[in-house]
Amino acid sequence: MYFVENYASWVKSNWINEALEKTGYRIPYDFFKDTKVFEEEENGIRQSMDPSERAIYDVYGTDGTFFHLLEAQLFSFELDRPPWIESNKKFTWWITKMYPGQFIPAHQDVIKKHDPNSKRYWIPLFDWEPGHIFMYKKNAFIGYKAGDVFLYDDLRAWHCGINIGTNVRLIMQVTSYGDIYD
Amino acid sequence: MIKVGNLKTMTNTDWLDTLLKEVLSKEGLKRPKEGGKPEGKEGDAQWQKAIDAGYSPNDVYFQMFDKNNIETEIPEFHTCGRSRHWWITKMNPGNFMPMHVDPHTKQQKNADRFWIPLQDWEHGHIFMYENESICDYVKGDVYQYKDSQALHGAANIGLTPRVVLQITLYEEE
Repeated sequence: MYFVENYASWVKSNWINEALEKTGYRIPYDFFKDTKVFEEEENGIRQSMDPSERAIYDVYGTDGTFFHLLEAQLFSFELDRPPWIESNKKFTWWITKMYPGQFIPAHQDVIKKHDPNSKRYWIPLFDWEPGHIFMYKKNAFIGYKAGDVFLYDDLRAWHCGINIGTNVRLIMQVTSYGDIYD
Repeated sequence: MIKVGNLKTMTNTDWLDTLLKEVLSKEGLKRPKEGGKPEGKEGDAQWQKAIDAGYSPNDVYFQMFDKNNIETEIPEFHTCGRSRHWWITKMNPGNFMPMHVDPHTKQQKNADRFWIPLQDWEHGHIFMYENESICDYVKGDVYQYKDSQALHGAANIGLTPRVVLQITLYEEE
């Protein structure tokens, strides 16, 4: 992960307040409850997940709540364009919320078919505290500040996160891709 | 954490594999559900803090083994005349131990804490000691806490169980 810059002034308090209030999707429970995910994959309707993600569901099952996924359409506001993203790029974003005891098991992301050159950014919305763990390759990210922007240097890197602290953990993820003129 | 060596330097390390096999083959004491509150004022405060944060005393966050439920003989190490207290933690995928300070190292005189993984490191097997994560270890590595009263926590968000032997050396009062 590369540290890009701190953009704390770009982060608005109402984004955080809404993220704290909303439940979002309980992952994986809500993801699987109304969708035949594995069937859709087999039928080619859905891009296959990485084998590391499939292994998670084999081991952990699909009916629990590891964490809460808050996607852009869930919020009442429009996100200001992230200033660190190249002006010709589109972007998508979401927030992951972990209460104490919640986690994302170790996995590798799938590189989206539509843009192998997409870039992924990891932005904590609160200052780091003990127990807020993000492991990327063989390193734990500690001591970060709210609004720090980190760029994944390897989209296929193993990573995982867990909250074994005492306060909620909020992380914004932004992906830039494609070209706005496409 | 200071890496002080690896148990493979011992003459016979067959017991490590036997111990791992035994721990993987059975259920330990389910904590915190079957464990009860940690002792002392410090333990009480941490217990309450965890409950206030949303952790449940009735859940199972990890399993514990000690001389009462382990048959494998753990060899006597050179302890410089100090007493030894050992236990094993097993974390199945999704298990964890919230950040905490060990209450017993406050009660035991001049306690030194050692942390010995019984397996090679895997992605998702996490041990945090203050601001440091311990990764890339191999089976039998011996780590010593720089400070027995340091804040630490652990988790298994990998795909296989995680087993760690813990030893404390201390002076009898």
